[in-house]
Amino acid sequence: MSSKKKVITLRSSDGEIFEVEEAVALEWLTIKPLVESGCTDAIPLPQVTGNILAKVIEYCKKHIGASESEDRKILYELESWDADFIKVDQGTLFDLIRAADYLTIKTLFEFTCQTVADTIKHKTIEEVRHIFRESNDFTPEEEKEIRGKSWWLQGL
Amino acid sequence: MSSVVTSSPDINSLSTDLIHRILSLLPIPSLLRSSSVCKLWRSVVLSSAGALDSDNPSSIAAWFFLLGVHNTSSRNHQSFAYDPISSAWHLLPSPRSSPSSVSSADSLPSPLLFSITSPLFSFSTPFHPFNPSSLPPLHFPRINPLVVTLRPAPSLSFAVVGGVKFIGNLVDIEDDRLPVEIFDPNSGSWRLHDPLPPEFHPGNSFSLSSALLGRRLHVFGISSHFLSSFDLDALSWSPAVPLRPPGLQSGFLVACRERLLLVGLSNGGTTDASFNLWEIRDGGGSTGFVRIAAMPGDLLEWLVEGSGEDENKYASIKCVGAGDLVYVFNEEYYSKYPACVCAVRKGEWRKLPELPSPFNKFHKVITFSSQVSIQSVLPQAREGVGGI
Repeated sequence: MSSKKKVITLRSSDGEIFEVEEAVALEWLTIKPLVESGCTDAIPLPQVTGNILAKVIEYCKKHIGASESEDRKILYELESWDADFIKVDQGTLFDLIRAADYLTIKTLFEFTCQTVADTIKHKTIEEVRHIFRESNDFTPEEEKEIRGKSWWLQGL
Repeated sequence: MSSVVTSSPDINSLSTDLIHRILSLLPIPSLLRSSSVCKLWRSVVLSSAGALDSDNPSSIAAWFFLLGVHNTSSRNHQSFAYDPISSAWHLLPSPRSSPSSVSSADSLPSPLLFSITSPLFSFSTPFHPFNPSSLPPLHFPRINPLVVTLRPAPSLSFAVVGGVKFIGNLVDIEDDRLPVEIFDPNSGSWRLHDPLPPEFHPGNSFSLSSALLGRRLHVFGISSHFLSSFDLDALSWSPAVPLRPPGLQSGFLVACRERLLLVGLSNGGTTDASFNLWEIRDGGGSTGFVRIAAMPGDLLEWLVEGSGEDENKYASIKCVGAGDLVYVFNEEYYSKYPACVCAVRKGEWRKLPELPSPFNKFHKVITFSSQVSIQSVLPQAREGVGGI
């Protein structure tokens, strides 16, 4: 038996080839059965582009083993690494959410969704619209009703 | 799972499932605001409130409600809610009448305000107090009973315990113990059961504290220190037993997850005043208690700041709680109703921010703690019981 770690080959939607350790690929529940079946061909991932797949792999390599660590220093470092990792434009962030959902990677999915939620949290309606370049598609009447005396509009 | 490859900086290019997932992580006030960002988000929030509840951290942590009642003008009532996830107070619409009691049942995700104005028994959520729902009248209309929500909608059920008899517009001064009335949603009527044991005299809501755990409704005399439990299957009371940790002045029950807690002030003998949490344990035919936490001394002094050297300065400290949170507050106006909260499992205490100004001078405050469901706060939920 070779002591070399088993490597899984993945192919992105734009044809880029990536190699990841089996342990990393096993965390991706969507392809886990394929990996476990001993598939040696490149696994096609038609919903993930190369640049996003590279980010996903980067995240999972960093996190494997470390997320479960009880060492405070490791967790603290991981947290600041995460904070840097997620400094991406909105398009990339949404692509990461889609990729994590598609590949069923729980940690990355929760982290990216929470990142978007944190952006929305404690903001006014206008601020949220501005952040996401969302236009107001309510009619003036609907808008007026929304603007009624709603308690959740206070305190901002 | 999305089925097409789309790369777009537009958040609404995400599937509605993914938008739902993101919104479910928001504290309730943020979630409600997000329903006003655009039509798509509105439909996600309105169409999946139930599912949002099951994922939402806000609906797990119990809120603290403070309803300020003004004796002469109901326009001066004010209703506040503290949301522990946002760490913020919200000014809610104020009820026009004075609710006589409130529910504080632990497992229910919908706080309710009750109003018993003979012969009516009505209730509403504190978020939409203007459209109360009504039940048939009680057999024994009463003032200041303890009202507990036993089961959530759709088979909403309540228990009405104690209180003082109401004859015409007069309060009966005789010492009649009123039967417990439990609303049976199947027959749509109130059933009569044994009254509280005699040790609970006078048995009005100001002297009683209750906690619902499983099928047992526990009732504690705040200053008499008697404990009894009503078994909701056997439909009878257990004999009242005294429960007096050393120096206990006033004690309150809190159902904290699966545990029954006694929370209260000790101020006696040689020791300084302290505010403690005891776990009540039943075993071997006796009821015991174990102290599990104590409020930091400086926090307790902060709660009574401005009261001078008044011997009874601690008497206005009250307590409510649900889930993992225990709220302790001072119900006196002069002190501006300071409050703090203890996260029981972590043993962490923290001060609540001041009530939003301006708040009125209230003659009485009604307080309770309850988990809050998104469904119960949504604007569309105001159509009667169905939305609760």
